[in-house]
Amino acid sequence: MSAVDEITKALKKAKLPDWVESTHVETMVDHIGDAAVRVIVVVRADRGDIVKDGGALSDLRRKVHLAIDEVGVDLYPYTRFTIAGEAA
Amino acid sequence: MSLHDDLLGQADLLAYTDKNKPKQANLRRAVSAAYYALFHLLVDHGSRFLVSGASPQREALRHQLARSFDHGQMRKASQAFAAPRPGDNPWRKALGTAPSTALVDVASAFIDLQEARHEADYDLARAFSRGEVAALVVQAQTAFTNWNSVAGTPEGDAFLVALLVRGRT
Repeated sequence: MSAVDEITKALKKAKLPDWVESTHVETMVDHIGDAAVRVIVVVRADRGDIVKDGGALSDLRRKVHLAIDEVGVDLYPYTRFTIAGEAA
Repeated sequence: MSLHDDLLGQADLLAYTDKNKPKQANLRRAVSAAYYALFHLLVDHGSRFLVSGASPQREALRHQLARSFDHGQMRKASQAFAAPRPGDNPWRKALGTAPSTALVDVASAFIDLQEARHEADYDLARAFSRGEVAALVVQAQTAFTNWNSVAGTPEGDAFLVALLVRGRT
């Protein structure tokens, strides 16, 4: 199983809060050249204000780090948040 | 107001300055300001911790020291303090205990924001949404709050030294 699959599976098991609509995991190489993963957390459109709640975001980031550590994947997770339906 | 506080305020201002569709230039500068706010907060505290005193000579020495902080070294130190296991970082090992959640969050914020800053300033293929940028600015704000609870503690002092000095294992 690839690292992306393992992390995706771990996040599904991790009981994320109800304001999370979905997550997307992809591999990346960060700017110092280290292999890493980008975890995109899509926030439900009707809960968009959560991106202003530092405590809630920190808790979610910790859950992501823990889930990845528990499956033994040694890649740093860059967790990013986006609101469903929001144009970049 | 200090430079780091001003930068944090500027990041928030830029993230919300456009009422409708946000300009990428403003969102990118918001990300950059959020990173540099945390960078300068830690440099300020690190310099004051290592060179105290209010005389002009001490202040000059402190300013010189502040210029010696290196983004790469600060990132390596942050990785060591954010990691679940101690690894071989001598300052993290010297602590003897795992860093608090507050310090782990500060270290993780430094890593996350530095990467985001690099994307914002150099990756023109990347488009930022306001929600993503708002979350990054809030991460910097939360790191400021967390740092206040860690500053002056043994783990905070160890982190500040690690940001500047690689140390030997």
